[in-house]
Amino acid sequence: MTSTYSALRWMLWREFLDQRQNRMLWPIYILMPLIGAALPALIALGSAAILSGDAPVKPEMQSMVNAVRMLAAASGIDLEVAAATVLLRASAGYFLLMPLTIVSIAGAYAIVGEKQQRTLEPVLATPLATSDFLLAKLMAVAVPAVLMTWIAAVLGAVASVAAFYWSHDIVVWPDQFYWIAVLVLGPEIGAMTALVCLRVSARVQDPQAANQITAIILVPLLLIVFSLVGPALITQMKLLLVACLVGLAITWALFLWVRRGFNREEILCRWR
Amino acid sequence: MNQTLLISATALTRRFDDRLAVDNLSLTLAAGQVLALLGPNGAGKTTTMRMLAGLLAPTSGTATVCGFALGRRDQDNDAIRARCGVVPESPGFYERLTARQNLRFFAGLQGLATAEIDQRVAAELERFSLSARSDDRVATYSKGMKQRLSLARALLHHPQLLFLDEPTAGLDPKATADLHALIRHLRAEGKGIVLSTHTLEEAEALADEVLVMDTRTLFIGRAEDLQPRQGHEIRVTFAANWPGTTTWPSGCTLLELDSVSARFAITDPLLDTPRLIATLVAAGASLLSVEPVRRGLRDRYLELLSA
Repeated sequence: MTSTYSALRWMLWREFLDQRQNRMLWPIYILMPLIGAALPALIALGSAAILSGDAPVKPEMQSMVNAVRMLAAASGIDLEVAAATVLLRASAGYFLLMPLTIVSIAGAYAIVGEKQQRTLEPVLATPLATSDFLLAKLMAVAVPAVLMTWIAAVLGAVASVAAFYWSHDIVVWPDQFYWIAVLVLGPEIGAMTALVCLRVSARVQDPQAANQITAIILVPLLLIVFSLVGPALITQMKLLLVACLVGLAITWALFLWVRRGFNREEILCRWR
Repeated sequence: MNQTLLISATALTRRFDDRLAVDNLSLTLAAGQVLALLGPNGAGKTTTMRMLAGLLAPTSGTATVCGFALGRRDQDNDAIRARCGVVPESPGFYERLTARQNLRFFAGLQGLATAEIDQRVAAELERFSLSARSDDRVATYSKGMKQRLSLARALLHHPQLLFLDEPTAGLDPKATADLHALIRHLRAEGKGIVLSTHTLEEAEALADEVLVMDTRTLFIGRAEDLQPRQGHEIRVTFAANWPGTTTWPSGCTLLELDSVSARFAITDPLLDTPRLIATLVAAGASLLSVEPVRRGLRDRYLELLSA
């Protein structure tokens, strides 16, 4: 009998090989982390005006300026360091979009690809438990995207330290807001996207359609949520932690929803 | 020959919403036997195989496959799948991966130990003459090679029971003959084989038992029992045009007539054939040949379906 560990190991191994050979995925796997790694540093280099405090404040920047002032006052740190810290926190937003984008594209290929290649039947003909198949698919889709995001976020953090030091002569490390967003919210968004992708992929026949439908459902939803609560998320730790818990609850609810419709019969007879 | 019963199914039925796919199907299969499923498209052959291979639960009915009750518990279905090899209608491989990588993956999913996997994969690649191309991507394989690879995959875990869904569809005659030889070899090894096919000759040549179905069972039994007896029809060929106007002796019925031949149904070949010939000659027909019509499996199969 196939153990869960063994099933996951083989499914992930196969997915890794398959994705490595899929040239359609290369741009997204190369470009997104590159941009992610460079973004905090670019923000640091481009933020001279904000950090100098001389520039007139545009209305849309007002909330960020307020956040900077609040942080400086609350932490007793220099206004310049506070501004750099808040900018870095805001740059973490990219690392929430990164798993969404990578998962929705790679996931579409990973799942619809199985349909196109008609590999579902031979896979389901093995003693692999259906729940292991679901879990393996989830991991195969979400884990590479999350790893890419984490690597890009770490590189971005290192680059931003260097950039702030070079451009403003200050040492600023991304704080806990940045890391919680990257390490907790990012994977949650990756898992949510993978689950929606699994559900959507059951109904469509080509990767582009799966990708587009997933993106149409999730991107606007997340943009609305982040535009509403984003400014508060980078200033209030309690709210960020609540967002993580809500994300966990939504992920779990999505998992149960997908699990309910995810059985051998559904896959064999309707995933066509 | 080992006569262990591998499949014992009673009144298996499967519905998809309102559509009845398989109705009240009962069958048995022993080790070392080949059962051929015959039927038109949509007759429920693939659904039957999927049910018996533990992929689909029957709506009603019971079955024991390789000693485990079908559809009751997930563990039993897992155990059934671990003892069955399936060759689906579409081979279904990861086209960007090599043949060896594909086989390693499926061997891993079968739960084989890592140390054993490479050995089994190499043996199956060798058995199906795919070793030389084993590190090529499956996308570059021909249909015949993919079909051989599909068989290799089905045999990796040494299953007791094999389900072959139209395994020779689209294969050239040489590849088909090779596959037939392999099926005979596997049968001789004691494996039970369920073979779905549209090729009646294939069923006749390979199967110990034939099941003709069109959702429900139309015939189940030995292939030779499906063959109608010969000699109940005869064909007469004329050396010259003959108008065919006469009265036929009792026991003889004209089925077909054209200017050069006629086909008759007769009740008793030994009695009626000479009487018919005498009648024809007396009516002025110049006979070139008289021969029994060998009504083949196809005729009987079509009769069953139309009935």
